[in-house]
Amino acid sequence: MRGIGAIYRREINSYFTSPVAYVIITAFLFIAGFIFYNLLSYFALQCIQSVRYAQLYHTVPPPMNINSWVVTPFMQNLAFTFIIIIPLLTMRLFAEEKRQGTMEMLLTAPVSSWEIILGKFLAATTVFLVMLALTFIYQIMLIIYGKPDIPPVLGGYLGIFLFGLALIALGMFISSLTKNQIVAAFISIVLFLFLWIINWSSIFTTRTAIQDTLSYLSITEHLREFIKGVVDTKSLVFFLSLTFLGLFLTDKSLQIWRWKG
Amino acid sequence: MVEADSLVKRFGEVIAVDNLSFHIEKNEVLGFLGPNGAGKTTTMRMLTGYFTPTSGEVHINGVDMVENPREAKRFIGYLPEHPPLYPDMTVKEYLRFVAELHGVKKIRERLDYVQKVCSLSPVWNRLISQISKGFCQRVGLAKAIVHNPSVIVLDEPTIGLDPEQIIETRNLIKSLGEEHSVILSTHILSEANMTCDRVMIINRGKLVGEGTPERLSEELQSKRNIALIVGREIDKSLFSGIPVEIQKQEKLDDKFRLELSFPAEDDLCPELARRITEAGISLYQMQEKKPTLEEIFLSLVKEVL
Repeated sequence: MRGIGAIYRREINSYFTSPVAYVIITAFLFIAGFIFYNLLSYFALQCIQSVRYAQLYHTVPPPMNINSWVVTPFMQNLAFTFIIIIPLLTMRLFAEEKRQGTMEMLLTAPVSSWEIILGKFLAATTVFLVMLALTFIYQIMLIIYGKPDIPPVLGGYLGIFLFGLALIALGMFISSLTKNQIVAAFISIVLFLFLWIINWSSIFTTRTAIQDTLSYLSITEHLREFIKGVVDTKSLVFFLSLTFLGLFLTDKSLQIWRWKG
Repeated sequence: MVEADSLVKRFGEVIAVDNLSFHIEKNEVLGFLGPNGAGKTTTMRMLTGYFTPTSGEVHINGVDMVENPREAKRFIGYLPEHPPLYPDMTVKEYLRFVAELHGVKKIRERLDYVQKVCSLSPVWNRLISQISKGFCQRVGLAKAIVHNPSVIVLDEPTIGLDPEQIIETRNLIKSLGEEHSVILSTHILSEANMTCDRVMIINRGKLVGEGTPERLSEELQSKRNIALIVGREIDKSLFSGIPVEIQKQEKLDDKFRLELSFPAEDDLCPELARRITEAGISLYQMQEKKPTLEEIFLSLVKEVL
């Protein structure tokens, strides 16, 4: 297991000694902050307006739900942002090693390919967690100044975390298929977008088996459950098996590399 | 130390290595010689576990490379043709990473050792992206020995170095050969001559010759070739009674250049020099033409045909 530690430390150093991590985290926080600011401002505007209407017509203002106005749309937009951001974290993991020839040293070192894969996976996950944790500040602000329903907040963060793990594993697999980082990032984004919208075509079929399969494969459906505050075993298993699939395929891809060169 | 048994590697239709078997003893320096594309790199990549052989087996210290790669790789220090360096790390960070990957216990001691042996002090804390090619090669060499492996595999270790560094590297390889087994590949015959105890010549993935460098060149050379630079033209009659042939004679400004050959078993050089000077011809230069790899190689291929 010493291989995981060595690879993990090298990857983390590589993220944080180069501008890569800082640029990605900054860009991400800018977008996330922009989304949150706009959602919250719109919510505040709606609140003021509903109070004015109530005064005008001498009625009681209707209750405004901060969860459905801010928390839920924020989570959904956050998840969508990660579809673009995570490929930028994973694109270099193996493509760069292949391009600069260091793959040869990793694969001839006395460590198993699983140690290499897990070391890299955990490093990318760490950067992802830093980003995700930084956005939690917004939720704390909501909790301090408002009364959001807590389970959807926690459920949503758990969902996005699992969703991120799956994307990182799949992105890493795609990076292991090519020497070109740009190609790796592009294919990852296309794949993630496709998984995001895969259930759209379910309205064109009346066969429930196909509808069920498409909606089961859809990341969006599973994420929605978490954001509702429901931790469904089916969705948990879905994200974890997607993660394992990504790791497993990466291992196979390294084995093929040993055969074909 | 290393046993390779009927190694085969195919890439689709192409057979890169064709049924190659060999072994390396303890404290032996073995050279792989061959032209580009002969299968030297592929063979080394199978020895080090980077490529899985299509068929055949590799044992390092008795451990099977395919069945127990994690254990077998511990015994090997490998410098690929292009040193596998991370440009965003400093030399020290990089070597520490390699030592960690190999599970080295006394990392500090080993780092001090390779810093000294590979003369890396001037670049120790510099980024790898900023150091010269020669230093990159030395960092690569340090990478191969930092975990004190029993077998060191070096793929063209002197490529891209300046003459002084080449001599340093060769001396280093020689001294490593006293405590470790070393396998190195090269396409320069003189390099194999200077550093290797035993040489294997490979072409198209097959073994075409094997032996000590001296024996190989003796066996392959039925004739010795001498190049001379003399003051005036020489007639054949000067060499009457000795088995010398004039291969070529050409005018060089005010001098003449001659190429002679005679059977390898006779050492006729002193006799030649005596006859030329006694004839009143000034002798400026006399040099033995060692066969190049290509010549040895061509003769080997001819033998096979």
